[in-house]
Amino acid sequence: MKKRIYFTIVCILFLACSCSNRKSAVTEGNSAYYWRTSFVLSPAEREFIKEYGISRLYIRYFDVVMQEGDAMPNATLKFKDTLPSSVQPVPTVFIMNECMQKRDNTLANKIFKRILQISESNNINNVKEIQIDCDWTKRTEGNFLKFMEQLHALTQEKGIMLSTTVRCYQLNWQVPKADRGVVMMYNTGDFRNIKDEKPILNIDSVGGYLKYLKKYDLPLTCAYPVFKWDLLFHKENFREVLYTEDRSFLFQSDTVVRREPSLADILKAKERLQSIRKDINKEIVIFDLSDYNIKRFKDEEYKKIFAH
Amino acid sequence: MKNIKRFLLISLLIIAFSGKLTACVGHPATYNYFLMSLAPVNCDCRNIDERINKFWSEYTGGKFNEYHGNSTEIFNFAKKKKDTEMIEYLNYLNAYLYYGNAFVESWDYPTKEDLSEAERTVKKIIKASREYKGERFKSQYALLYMRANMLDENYADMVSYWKNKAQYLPESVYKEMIENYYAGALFHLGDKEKALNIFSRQGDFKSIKWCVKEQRNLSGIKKIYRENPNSEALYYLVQDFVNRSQDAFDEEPENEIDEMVDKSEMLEFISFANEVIKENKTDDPCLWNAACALLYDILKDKNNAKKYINIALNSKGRALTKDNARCINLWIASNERNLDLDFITKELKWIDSKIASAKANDYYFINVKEKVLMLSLLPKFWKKQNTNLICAIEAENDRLRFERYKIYDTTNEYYIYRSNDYSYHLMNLSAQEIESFVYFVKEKHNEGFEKYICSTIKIEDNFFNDLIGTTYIAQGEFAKAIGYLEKVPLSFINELSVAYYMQRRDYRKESWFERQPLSDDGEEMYKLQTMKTNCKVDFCKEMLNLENQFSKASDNKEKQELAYKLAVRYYQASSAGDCWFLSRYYKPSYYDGKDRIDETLLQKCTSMLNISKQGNKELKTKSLYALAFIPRDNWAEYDYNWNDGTFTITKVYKNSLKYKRLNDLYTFIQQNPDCKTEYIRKCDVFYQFAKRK
Repeated sequence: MKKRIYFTIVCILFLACSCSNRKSAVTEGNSAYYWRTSFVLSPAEREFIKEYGISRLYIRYFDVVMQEGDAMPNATLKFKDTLPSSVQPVPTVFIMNECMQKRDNTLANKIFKRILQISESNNINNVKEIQIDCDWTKRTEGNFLKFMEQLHALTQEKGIMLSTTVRCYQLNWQVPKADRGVVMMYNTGDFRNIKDEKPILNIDSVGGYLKYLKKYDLPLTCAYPVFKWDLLFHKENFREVLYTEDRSFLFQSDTVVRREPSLADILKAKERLQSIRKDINKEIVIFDLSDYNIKRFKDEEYKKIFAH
Repeated sequence: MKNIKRFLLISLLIIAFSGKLTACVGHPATYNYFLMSLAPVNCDCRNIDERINKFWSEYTGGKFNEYHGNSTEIFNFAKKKKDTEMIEYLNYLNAYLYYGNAFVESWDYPTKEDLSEAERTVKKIIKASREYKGERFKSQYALLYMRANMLDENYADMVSYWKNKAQYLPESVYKEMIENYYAGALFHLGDKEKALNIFSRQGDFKSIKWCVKEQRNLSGIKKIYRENPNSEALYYLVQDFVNRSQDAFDEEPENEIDEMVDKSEMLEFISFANEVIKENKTDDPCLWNAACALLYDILKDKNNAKKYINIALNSKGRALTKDNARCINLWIASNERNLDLDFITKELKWIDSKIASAKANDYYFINVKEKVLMLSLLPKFWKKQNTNLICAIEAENDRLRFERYKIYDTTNEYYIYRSNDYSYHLMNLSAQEIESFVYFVKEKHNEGFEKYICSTIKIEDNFFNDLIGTTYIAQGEFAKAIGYLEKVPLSFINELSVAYYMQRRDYRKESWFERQPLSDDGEEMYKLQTMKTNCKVDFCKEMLNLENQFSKASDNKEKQELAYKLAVRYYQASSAGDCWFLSRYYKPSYYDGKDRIDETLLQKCTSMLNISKQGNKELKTKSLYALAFIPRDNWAEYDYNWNDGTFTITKVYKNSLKYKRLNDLYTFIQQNPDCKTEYIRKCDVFYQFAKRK
């Protein structure tokens, strides 16, 4: 009996600790992702940050890709501008799933060290959180979880918070060791399918995953898409994503379809998620900050997107 | 000759250990090479490194042949020579190479100090390069200027530097590199077409590929064409489109679905190509016609393929395009139902001349020849069962593989021969067929394909004598075998990969009582063996002697004892025996029941055992045991119990040969319990059988 009581007390203590940690990881305010290879803020972007009180910027520092059998950094961000003092930077690293196909116990340390060095070398101060974005799958789950465990131990030592992106399909898998997560509420459909008119955001198409949202054991916020895709189809066959406005080369049988979530799509998703997890919209994150995207919605529309 | 022998030894070695290599050798060659090669993206045709290294080699009098990053050897060499101008240049070069690395993607991101130092250094290099007034390193400093500015992303400065200064430099590898950087700057400033033209002129297809990476589809081709109907990038893009079309129709699983070109797009390309030809703005209509021909060929529309390739051959175009068209034409002609072998021969000879003058790493013509030989001609001769021509084509194909290997990489010989059709085929022929092939190659032919193909083959006598002799052993014709085997010197035998086994195994041992295991991974295996006699010859002599004695023996007992001795040896020489090397060059990893070699030797073995089993009780027991041992069919199915390591019989096949033979032995032992010798008591198969009974 004694043993059982002792065990119960330990459990309560443990839960209390973990709850208090989790509580501190809940974030609030407006945020955006910065997902380019050069860091330069245009006047319009600076104005947007000011206007909508963007207090946190998830800045993609570099990608991790496989090169000749080793995980290597790639497309490292070049800093050519300063960060507004009101904005808290969250260095973010995208890791390609293939890097998780083999166990590399040195990777967490390499990434963390590099993030700190980039911040220091480029005067990015006040880093309180870093984020890992990885499209890990069931096949790489074990290695990714181990990697996050190792990285979490390192970030904790330095008093830095570790967050992870969570893709919808990852919601019903094991929860990686992190202080919090950002649900990527985009790429919910199949953009290669011409019949899928809402491949970027269609909350109805991820309904199956949302049942896991409530019990997902991490403090969560959500990132909503404000970007568009111009997709080139030849007849019904997907060809490519078009990144320029040049259309002079198209054939008559080519079709370019624009896919972009509407305000209604975003608001519907926000509402649905909030009905499942009340605190999920305490922080609203948009993907991503760019001159084009900030013009996509009117002022009152952005106000609705950022309404908490 | 030396090379041929090496190839044969390698071939044999690989075959001998084919079971071991299977896991890592992957698929056999498909020979389905691309037929369009106008922009060799992976070929360093510009030889930049080689040309730069020549400078260092000349400077150091051949002491150092290349310059590594921060090369201290050359720096010390310059110091020793008190060559201050060189030392100063090397300081800047080394600084560039060192700080250039700070910008490279690596796990060690530069510190703030390193970054500032790198920035300062880059600026210093730019300044020093601009201010260099000497003549000796004018081009080198100009290159440094461009490189440093590229790091600093000063593209506009690079463009004006080229226009005002660098373009007037004397022609050299440095100037070529400077212009390449200039093109890079143009690309970054948005002048893609100008950049493309420079990359194309320089043959820098890697950069072209980068420039047009978003145009690798029909829409992109159309766009580039509209901008400039003679854009160099079109050569890369058309080649890429056609080759990807071929990929789309191949069945290689590693192809990315989303990169594939589908049939409708291929047809649309053809219709666009026709527009291009009609517009008459292209200087190379041959390119577009050849592309159409190949696309039709891929789509199996032979008539249109022929129509377009004929137009291509008669259209104007660059030399390389015309060569491509000629290769495509050969491919199409080789697939004709009524083969014009004289034409094919003429074209193959032309391809040989192209192979002889090809640049290093350029395998286009070798690829075309292999494809024509192996995918077009070979199946036709298989259909006609023309063994001599089949072997001849395979032999030429192997020679080509060696040719490729010789001019490429000297470290990967094992992989070069991973699919050695020639050797596999030879080793599955009868001795008479191999004799016929050797005669065919050596005989005089009239002009034509046979003469051409035979002229490419070298018959290595030791190899063929050993092969024919070995095959005669497999056929049980020992007298004929000796005739060939005695001609083979021991030096050749000791080098064979099977020599390791030949030296260590004894064909007199009864396989059913004693196996002769050998380690497959020791160093010994790869050493030169030291046999004093050729055991194949010894074996043949012994077999002739035993067979002779057997046929003359009138006494039953003697005959039965000789029969048993012969059975032991026939079995040993079969693929199931430990001395399989007597009749072959590899031990099959499984038995498929269709092995002609085994049929002969095992049949002989069985008939001898049927005679020896008539002998005394001891001989009868051994013979019945051997007869039960030999069949490789299943007499029962087992379940293995992982907990106690026991087997449980789940099903019995009473009609199997093994069952019948085990039953004969069992019945005999039941009737003669005194014959239950130790080897029978220890036999777990017999134990299982008896238990089941």
